[in-house]
Amino acid sequence: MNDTERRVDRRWEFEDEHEFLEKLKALVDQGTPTDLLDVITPVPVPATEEILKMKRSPLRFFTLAGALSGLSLGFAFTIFTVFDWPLITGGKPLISLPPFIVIAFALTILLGSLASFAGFLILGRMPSIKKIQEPIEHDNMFIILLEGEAAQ
Amino acid sequence: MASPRACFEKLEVDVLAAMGKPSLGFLVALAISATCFVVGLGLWGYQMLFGMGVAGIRHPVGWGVYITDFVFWVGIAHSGTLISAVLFLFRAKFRSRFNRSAEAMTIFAVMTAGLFPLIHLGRSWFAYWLFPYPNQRELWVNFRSPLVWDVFAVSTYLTVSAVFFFVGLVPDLAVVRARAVGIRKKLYAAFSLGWVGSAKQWVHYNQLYIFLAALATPLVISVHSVVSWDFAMSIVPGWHTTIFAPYFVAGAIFSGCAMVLTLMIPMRKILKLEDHISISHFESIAKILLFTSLIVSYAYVIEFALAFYSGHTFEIAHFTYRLLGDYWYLYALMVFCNVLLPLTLFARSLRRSLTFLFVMSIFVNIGMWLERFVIIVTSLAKEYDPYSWGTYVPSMVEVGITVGSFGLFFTLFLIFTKMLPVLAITEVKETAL
Amino acid sequence: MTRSTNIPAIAGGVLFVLLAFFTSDASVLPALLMVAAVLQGLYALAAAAHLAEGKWILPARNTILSLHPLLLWLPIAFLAYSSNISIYGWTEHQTFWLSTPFFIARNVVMLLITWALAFSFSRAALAGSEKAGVLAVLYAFAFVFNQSFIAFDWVMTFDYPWISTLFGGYFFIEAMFLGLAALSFMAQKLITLGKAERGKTFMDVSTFIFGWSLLWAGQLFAQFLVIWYGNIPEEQLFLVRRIVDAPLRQLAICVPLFLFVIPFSTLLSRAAKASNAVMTVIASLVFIGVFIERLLFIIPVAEMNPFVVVLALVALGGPVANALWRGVTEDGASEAA
Repeated sequence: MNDTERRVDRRWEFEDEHEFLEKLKALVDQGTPTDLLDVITPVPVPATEEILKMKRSPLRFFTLAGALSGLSLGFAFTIFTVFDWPLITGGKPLISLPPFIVIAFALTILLGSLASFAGFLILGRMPSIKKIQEPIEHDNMFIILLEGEAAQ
Repeated sequence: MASPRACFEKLEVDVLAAMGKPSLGFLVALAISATCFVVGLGLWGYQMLFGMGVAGIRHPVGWGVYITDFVFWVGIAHSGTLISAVLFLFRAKFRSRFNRSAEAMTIFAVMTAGLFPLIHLGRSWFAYWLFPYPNQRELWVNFRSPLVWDVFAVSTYLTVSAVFFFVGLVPDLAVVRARAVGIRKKLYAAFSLGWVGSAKQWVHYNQLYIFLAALATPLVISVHSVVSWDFAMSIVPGWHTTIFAPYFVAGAIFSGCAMVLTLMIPMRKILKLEDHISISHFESIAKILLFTSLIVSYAYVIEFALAFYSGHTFEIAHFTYRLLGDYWYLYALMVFCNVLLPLTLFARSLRRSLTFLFVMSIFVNIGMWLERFVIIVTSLAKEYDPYSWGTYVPSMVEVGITVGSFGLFFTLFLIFTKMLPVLAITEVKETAL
Repeated sequence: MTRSTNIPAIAGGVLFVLLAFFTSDASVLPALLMVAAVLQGLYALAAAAHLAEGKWILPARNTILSLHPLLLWLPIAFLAYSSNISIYGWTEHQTFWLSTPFFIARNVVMLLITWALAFSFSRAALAGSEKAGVLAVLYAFAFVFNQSFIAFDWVMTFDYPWISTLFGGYFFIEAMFLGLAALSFMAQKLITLGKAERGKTFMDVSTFIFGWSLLWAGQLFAQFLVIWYGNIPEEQLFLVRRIVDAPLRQLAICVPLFLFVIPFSTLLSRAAKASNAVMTVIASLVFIGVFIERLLFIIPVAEMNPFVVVLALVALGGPVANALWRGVTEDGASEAA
């Protein structure tokens, strides 16, 4: 796992993202194991994901789980309440789906978003107490970190 | 050409300069808006003490300025989410200059809007009855009521907007933390959650942003649709019409874009951000303003046309009243501000004149506030039964509370400009690459 | 348009006109509605992409812009259809707005204006002229009003005095939906010809369809909810006739199923958005769903002969499909994605 808390042996800093990408590509082509490499960048650089052969983020499963639970909760709760205390309002049927769709829709989006946010925090290992106390700054440089003894 | 690093540094210095020591002008503006807010708050307390009778709401017009304000502020909020989420999905690059301030505007507008159902309740201390919780009354909330849909939709909107706002802020808080000292550094470090900017973090971050944008987009459409259904679910002529949902959404984006212009044109000048927000960026917002104005105009025309086409006595009577009745002058002003004035934006030179855009945005805000007022009050003033016809005049308490809501909004926004970077620094850096 | 597209168009158009004259019911109306929607919707997408400077449409743009001769068939087809105007109940008690000559005239004029603007926009856009932007805006206006007239005049008057202010908006959203579905088919062909990239044009169209299905569902729901909730007898009759009793009830369920539930849930996955097979099914379902819906509007209020309905669809729709197919194949001047 790439984790910038591990021992760092080599560090390259670049002002320009093209030089940064060239060096990264060179390191990978030389045979440096990609799990020993990490980068710190001030902005996301999409090519990095390809060069480091990173897998697609599993965040989407959090989102799907949250959205589906919101959808089910929306219908389950509304239907439960009309059976718990059956009260006819406005001549509408007890289980009136159109209004319940509105509630379920809102809850789908709410729980989907909250689950995604939670997933992001979990997957990105945030908040990290250590990094809050001693922040790692990039100073607007594109940085490559190589850990391990066999630094090329 | 300067290296990316030099561009980044300049951007950071310029944007963070805005967060420095407050100037006299800032303090005066803050004092004025805070005073308005406090006065509004006091008037609310007065209303709670002496009852809802101090407001102008009577039979038959049971919904007046408070509901107008509610719909107005929720509408303003929508533009922020449009700029953040919808324009992101459409890959419109100009959005990065506006989205931070627009998202902040969204949150403050929703917070302001959320006060109005409480104010309108009268017995605001019973507001918790609106939330579904097990209670000894053995009564659940009425999920078939549009007012309860509002509770869910607006709460969802506030939460999701807050999450979206915060997520966008995380890399920027790291930027602020790098340049801060002392206790400010510790605060910003805490709120930046220890953000590093490693490859893995960026991968998850980008996915999260896409999903939040994808989730927030249907929210833009659904929340104001739900608010419009507060009216459309009734059988009152002028309210019971199917076009309300898209019509209100377009109107919301329209008024929200106007508020973005009202806030950001002066802000750009005062905070000296001319290098980072260009006139072309404002022109893009002006185009959205024009487009949504056309949708709103279409809705006005169709409502009238179909009312007369249908031959329904009550529909025809209502629309005649709207055009020629007690509130005709408000209707005329509304048409001028929302339909006619924005047509001038077809001229490129006017789209690129910041003064013109600023003045227009004020008129549009007025026009859109009037639109909600006209819809609400004219429909209630003259319903089916002539015996119950009446009129409505807002009382000073209502006016004061409305002014107070503007005070709250601007107070929050002014504080925001001092505490957080007003431009999305990281996103602007990305577009500069 | 070339000979290979003109001849089928003329043949199909003549067949349609003959069908319209020799029938006295509403049989040719569904075909007319579908083709008007697809043609105008495709142009609307081209105009919108032009104004937003969207690149996703470029490989298909020239083909779309060559369709304007077919738009000229619409006023002619409508004139032929209006030989059956007595199917509308209001013809028996005519008013200022709903009078036969005014009705026919305003719709023909509207269709001609839309054709003229589409023609001018095509010419300007293909020549790269600056006027194309202005013409795109004008076409967009014409499109919105034309589809609104189609909705309010051709369909809503059957149920007079029922009104739904959203009906016009609903029709032009469906028109663009159909345009997107047609674009999906075109994109598939363009990829096999090497004129477009799957990752860009095809994926973009699939993503649009994904989002548009949600937008469409929102409009359907908005209209349905207001009528259902108000429960007013005059309004409610429109829905009750169409969704309560079999077999219309089952047909009605197909509409949101084909136009929202299936596209939206399937296209959540990125792989589905990129797959030819999936998009073929979904785009087909979009066409079928809108067609079923148009039938549902008409069935309770006017007679139709199923055989003529299908024949009319082939007569008017066949040349459109043919023009699109040949357009992407023969067009050598397309810009790559």
